[in-house]
Amino acid sequence: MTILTFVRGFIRFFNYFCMAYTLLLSVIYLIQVVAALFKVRRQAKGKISEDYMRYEDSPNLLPISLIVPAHNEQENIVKNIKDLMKLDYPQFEVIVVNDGSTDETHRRMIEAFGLYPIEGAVKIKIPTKEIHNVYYNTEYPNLYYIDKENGGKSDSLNAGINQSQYPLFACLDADSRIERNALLILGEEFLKDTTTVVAGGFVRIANGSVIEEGEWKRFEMPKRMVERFQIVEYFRSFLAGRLSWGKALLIVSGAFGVFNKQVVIDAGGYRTNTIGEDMEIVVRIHRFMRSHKRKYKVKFCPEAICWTQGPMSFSDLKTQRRRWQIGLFDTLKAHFVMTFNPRYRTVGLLSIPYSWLFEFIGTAVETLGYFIIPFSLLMGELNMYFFILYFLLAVMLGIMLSVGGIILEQNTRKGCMSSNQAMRLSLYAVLENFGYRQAITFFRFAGIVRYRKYKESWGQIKRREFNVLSERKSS
Amino acid sequence: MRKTAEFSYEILAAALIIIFTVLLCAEYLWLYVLSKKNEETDIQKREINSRIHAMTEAFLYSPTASSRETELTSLIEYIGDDPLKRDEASVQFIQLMKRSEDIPPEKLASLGRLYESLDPIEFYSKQLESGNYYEKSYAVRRLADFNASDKTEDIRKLLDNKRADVAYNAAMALSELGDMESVLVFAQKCENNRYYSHRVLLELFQAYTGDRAELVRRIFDERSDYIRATCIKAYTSDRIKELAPLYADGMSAKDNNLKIACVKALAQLGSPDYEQKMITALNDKNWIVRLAAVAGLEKIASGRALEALVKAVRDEEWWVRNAAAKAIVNIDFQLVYVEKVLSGYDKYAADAVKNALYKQINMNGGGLR
Repeated sequence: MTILTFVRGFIRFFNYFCMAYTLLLSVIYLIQVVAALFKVRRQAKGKISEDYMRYEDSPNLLPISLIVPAHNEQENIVKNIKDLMKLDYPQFEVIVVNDGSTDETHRRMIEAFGLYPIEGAVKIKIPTKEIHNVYYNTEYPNLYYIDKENGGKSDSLNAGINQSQYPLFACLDADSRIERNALLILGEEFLKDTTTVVAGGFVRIANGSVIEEGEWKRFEMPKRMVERFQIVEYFRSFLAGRLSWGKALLIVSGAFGVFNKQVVIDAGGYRTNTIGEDMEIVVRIHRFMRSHKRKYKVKFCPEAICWTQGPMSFSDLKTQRRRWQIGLFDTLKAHFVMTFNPRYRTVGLLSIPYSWLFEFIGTAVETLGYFIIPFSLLMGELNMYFFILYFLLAVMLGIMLSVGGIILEQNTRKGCMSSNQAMRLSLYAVLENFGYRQAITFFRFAGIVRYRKYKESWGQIKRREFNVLSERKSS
Repeated sequence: MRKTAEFSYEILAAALIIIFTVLLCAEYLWLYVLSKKNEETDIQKREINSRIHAMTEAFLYSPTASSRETELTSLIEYIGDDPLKRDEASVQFIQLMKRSEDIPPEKLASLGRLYESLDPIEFYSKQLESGNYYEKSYAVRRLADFNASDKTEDIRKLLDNKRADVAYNAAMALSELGDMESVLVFAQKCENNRYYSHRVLLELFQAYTGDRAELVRRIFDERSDYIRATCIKAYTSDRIKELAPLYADGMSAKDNNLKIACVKALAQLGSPDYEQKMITALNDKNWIVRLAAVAGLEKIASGRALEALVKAVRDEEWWVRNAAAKAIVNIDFQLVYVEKVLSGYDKYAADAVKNALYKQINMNGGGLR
């Protein structure tokens, strides 16, 4: 057998493998969309009868500490914190952790809230980098500001946990906004079911939406294509991808999730040497709770909404997706023992193997496919007719998935988008198959290839003020 | 043979493409219909909300009786039999009743006509009969808002519903309607199903509008220590004096949670009759019991209580020491006991009192009181 024959054989095998693999993946995604659709309709109806606004003034909701790690967030920090303090929730505190910012974050916080250093004993439940000072002002009794040495987001969250005095904590991004009733929705989950240890909210792209005083006003189509694609992508992956996993969910977005503090402390707090801390902590909680045979639930509530700024350029998007992929690999590697391990039930037998096979390896297979399939077409190793058929099927499945995501969104948040906007957005469900999805795959693949170099680097993504995000015609 | 294979292969491919194209078109159509429907419903809901609100306000601010009647008639005509409008108007009616103290009596009397026309109890009772669990679940809470006590029997049927949300809403509604038996039944359900947090039980007890003292007595007679403790916690801030003997009995319970709840409830009453009980509780093994007893003695604020607090300031537990020190500083106006501790041999006790004094001086802007 000559080398050429071997190469030809391999290419032929890879072509069919790659095609079968991507089609299988699309079918799995479709199943997820359908499962999510049933779930979202049930949950949305349930929320009407639950009437969570009744708890607005109830002293029986568990108090929550909102931990906001901030590193060089001078643009938004003051406004965001002011908005956070207006949330509808009976009892909460806001803990802002300045993670060694080198910009004006520290000065702006001190000046805006008239903060002064306080002395007080803090029980160190999880070790963190050195805390310089804790600041406070009696005029803002539920605001604490921690100034600490740079140690990363996880370290800041751990410092916030040490400072927090309430049994639940929420991790929030300094550049995100949560809707006023979002905490009530998540807080209610802990009230009604004692086994709830984590409840995640739905992170939506704020680009285009008009948000005033932390409150969503209306949706407007963002200007840039890259932002429009992300909106479609978030509906597909956040709604379908997360809802369908149920209790076996592996990730709660770092931008908005509520945790049982004691469980997180028992599990060892956030791991500091990873950039995928949001996924890692959830997987570790699964591992810890299963190992200790404790009953628990991880929940995802699409009605609790957090608005976040999506990257506005392809270079920022590249940084973000590379980071996500590295975070995924880091977590899967750290908890490899859970893979196909029946001790961890659905998480070990389904969620983690799925992440390995389709989220991690899938990126590599897809990337290689983009090179090898056209190459074999040129070499005459692939039937043109067959290729066109495969291509059409793959694109159609992709469109079905994304349109399914928009349908899901329409079921979650009725009346958020006009029918005109929904239809316009669905156009991007078609267009994203010709460039955007490929670009995302390449960015993620870059994360795998350059894992060593970037495994501890967050990268900087440009942010703008929230009220400018809508880019209204008036401005 | 090969030709046939190729042909069937082509047929299959064409069929697949057609099937997917049809599916995709159907999906797009679905999206269009759904988004259009959502948009229309949203606009309709907003319009209904704002119109009912505006018409109600117009009624409230009408200067004369005849203009009030005109406004009310147009509001009633606008609502008609539309279920969406009736629901929205009922919700706004409940909000209006919450601020009924600010509404002049003649306007309140006119609102009776609106109530009769809305007939919310009949409206929500019909929803109770629907097969939709969510509607049922929603309707029971609204019926409770309208104090529909004659619907108690119908709501009770939902207590055993296998859906936790429906059962919970029914229990809350019955509690609001003051149905003691149902509260007792649901409390037992919570005991058996620990998925409900004890805070759900607190909500249930706090919503109860009937005779709370009687409910506590029944719970003490018929339910477990867990339910007893939760019930007492729910009513601690109510300071129900007639329950004091029951709390005093509960202080000797084996269950720590019940004991703590009883001491806290009795402490809130601050009754001198139970001074000795509080002093005895200062010797309890559980520091939370001792802490609660300190709070009780602070409320009693007698000479004996102060003597006991001076002992408590030497407690081995930091929280008890500090609470006792704070209590002494708060109630010892002559500063006799403060000096006694400060000049005593116990350094930790003196430190606790110094700390309490320092905090009070800080709070009062430089002065002691």
